[in-house]
Amino acid sequence: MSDALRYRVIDEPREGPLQRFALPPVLVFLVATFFTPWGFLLVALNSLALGGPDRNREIGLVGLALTVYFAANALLGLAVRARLLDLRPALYAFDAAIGIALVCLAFAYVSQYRTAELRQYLRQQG
Amino acid sequence: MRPYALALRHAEALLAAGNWAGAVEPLRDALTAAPQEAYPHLLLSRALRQQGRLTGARYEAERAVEHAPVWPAAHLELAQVLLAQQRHDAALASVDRTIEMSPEDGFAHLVRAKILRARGKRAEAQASLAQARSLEPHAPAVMAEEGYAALEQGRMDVVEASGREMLSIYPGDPDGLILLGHAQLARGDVEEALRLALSALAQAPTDLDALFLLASVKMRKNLAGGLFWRWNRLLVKLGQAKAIFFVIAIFVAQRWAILASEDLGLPAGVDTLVMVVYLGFVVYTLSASAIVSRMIAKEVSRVRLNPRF
Repeated sequence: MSDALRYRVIDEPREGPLQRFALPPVLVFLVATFFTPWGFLLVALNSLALGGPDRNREIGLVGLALTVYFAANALLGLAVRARLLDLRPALYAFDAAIGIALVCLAFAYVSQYRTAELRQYLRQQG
Repeated sequence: MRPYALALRHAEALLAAGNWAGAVEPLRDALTAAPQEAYPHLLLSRALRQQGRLTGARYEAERAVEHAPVWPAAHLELAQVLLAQQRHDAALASVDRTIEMSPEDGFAHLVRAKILRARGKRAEAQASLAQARSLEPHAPAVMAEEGYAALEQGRMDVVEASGREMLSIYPGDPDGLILLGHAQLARGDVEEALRLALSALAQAPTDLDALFLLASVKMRKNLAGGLFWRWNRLLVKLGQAKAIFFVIAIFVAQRWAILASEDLGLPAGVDTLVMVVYLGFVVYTLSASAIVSRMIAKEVSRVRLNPRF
C-alpha cells in the first residue's frame, strides 16, 4: 500500500514543494526580532516551508504581530502629532507594542520548533 | 502492511518494552485497517504522548473518546494528554469522568493527584493519592508519585524512603532509581547519583525524569551549564505561555532601560552596556543550550540498554 493511503498521524509535517527551503526556527526567530517588522514575514514563509499541522495558526500569529506593530506605530504617531502624548512616553509604549508582537511571534516559533524537530526525527527514521 | 491483529500485537509488545517510537508504525498499520477502532487510537495516543508529541496524542485520544465514549480508559488517556499540555481544568474534567464511570480505578485517582499537584492544590492531591494508594497499594506508579510530590516539596527523607521502598519491591525500577538518585544528589553524593541516573536510563532510555536527573547531576559540576540548567528549569516550571511572556518581558525591559538611560541623562556608554549585556545573555543562552544538549547526549551514549528494550 502506498504511503498516501496509510493512516496519517496528525502532527506529521506535510510534504510540499517549499520544504527544502525550511530554515531552523530559532534562526528565523532571531532574524525576525532583529529586523522588525519585515523580518516577521520570514516566520510566515518558514511556516509554509515546514508544512506543520499548525501552519495556518502560525501564519495568523505573524499577521497579528504585524497588525499590532503597524497599529501601534500609526496610533502613537497620531497621538504624538495631536499632542495627546509626548514623544518619549510614546517610544516606551511602542517598545511595549513590539513586545506584544514578539509574544505572538514566539508562540509561532514554539509551534515551528516542534514541527522542525519532528521533521528531523522522521527524516532520520526514513 | 500487517493485518490488524498482528499489527496490534506487535505494537503492544513494543509499548510494553517502552519502545514508544517503534510502536507508531504498527499502530499506523492497525489504524489503516480499522480507523474506527478506539483501542489503536488509544495506544497511538499513549505512544505519541510518551514522545512529547502532544498535538498528535491529543488528536488520537479524542478519536478514542469519540469512538468509545463510555470507555473509561479513553477518557483517562485524554486526561493524561491534557495534563501534559498543562490544560489542567480540561484534564481534571476528563479524569473526573473516568472516575465517575470507574470509581475503583486506582490509576485514575493517581492521575487526578498529578493534575491537582500541577495546579498547586497539595491537600486535594494528597487525598487523591491516598485514595490511589488504598486501591493500588503496591503499584509502582503510585509509590513514584508519592516520591515526586515529596521531591517538589523538598522532603528528601520521604523521597529516599519512597525510592528504597520501590526498589525493595521492584528491583531496578527506573522511578525508584531516579528518586534515590535525587536523594543522593541532595546529600552531595554526585557519583552515586550519576550511577543511579545511568542505571535508570538503561531501563528506560527515553524517560524524561531519568534524563532530568542525569542533567541535574552533570550540571552540578559545571558552572556555566549549571546556570543555564537552573534558568531552563525556571522556564519549564513556568509553563510554555508564562515562559514566553517572561522572556519577552526581559527583552522589553532591556529596551526600556536603554530609553531610561537617555531620559535620566546617564553617561553615553550606559545604553551600549545594557545592549551588550542583553546580547551576551542571548548568546550565552543559545550556546549553553547546545553545550548542555551535547553533554547529555555524550553521557546517554554510554548507557548500555536493557536487552528487552
